[in-house]
Amino acid sequence: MIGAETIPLLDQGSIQFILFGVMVLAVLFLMWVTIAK
Amino acid sequence: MLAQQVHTCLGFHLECGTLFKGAGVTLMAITLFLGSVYLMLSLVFGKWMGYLVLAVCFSGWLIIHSSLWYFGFWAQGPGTPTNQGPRGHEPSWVVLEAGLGAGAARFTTFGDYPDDGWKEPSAGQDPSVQSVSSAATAFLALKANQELDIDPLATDAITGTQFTIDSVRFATAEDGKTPLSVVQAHFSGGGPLTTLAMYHDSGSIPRYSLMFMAAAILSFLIHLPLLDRAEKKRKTFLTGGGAPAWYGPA
Repeated sequence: MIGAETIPLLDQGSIQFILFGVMVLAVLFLMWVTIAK
Repeated sequence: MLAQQVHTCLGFHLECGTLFKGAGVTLMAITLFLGSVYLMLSLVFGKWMGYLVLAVCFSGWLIIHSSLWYFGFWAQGPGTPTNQGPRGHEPSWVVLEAGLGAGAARFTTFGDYPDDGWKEPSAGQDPSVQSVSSAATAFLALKANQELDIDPLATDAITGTQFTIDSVRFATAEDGKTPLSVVQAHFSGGGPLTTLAMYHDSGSIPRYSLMFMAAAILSFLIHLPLLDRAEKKRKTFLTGGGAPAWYGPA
């Protein structure tokens, strides 16, 4: 057998989506910390 | 220069400069567009309730936006263009196995090749023959370059056009719907006849729209009851207790 096409579990778009979500949460957390009570 | 360098940065097929610029723009956009609104809301409602108002509004807007991407609210009738947002995998032919004989564990139909149910393409199937052939030759070129350790974008790289298709046959898988194909091809400069067992993957175009929609609905459902509670508490704070004493007109 020469080989077969492999399909990754998480493609680049999914990883970008997760990174976007993490970024939104990180910025919201930083704003939460920054804004005075 | 004909050959282009393939850029990869942190596993993404992008130049590092582009990746970091994109990340910076997204970061600043969130800070500016969400941050400015949050700052204003926090002045009026306080930190917690301001956050809740922002989160409910943002996830509500995301639900609307991802719906626009996904099905466009069928605003133009049944013919409304759908999947207008980021697109997942397009439908394509995928190579299950390549070797000297047809066979792949995933579909038993390959075991019947070239007899039962395996048909030569008809005249109307020319587009399918073209797409399955190009997928097959692209796969063979990729494997050849890997084996010979050649950069696929180098000038001396082996390309799909250097392979000749000998035969294409189609069949329907035992599940009654997945189109299958067996393609036989060889390297034009001489080489063994390679048989590729392929299936047609229907793709997953709406994947990202659905991911955004699911995340937005989840966030909405989490934040809305919290906002309700916070608002009730605030109302008690604002309107609780007795009315101020009436001492007559001043």
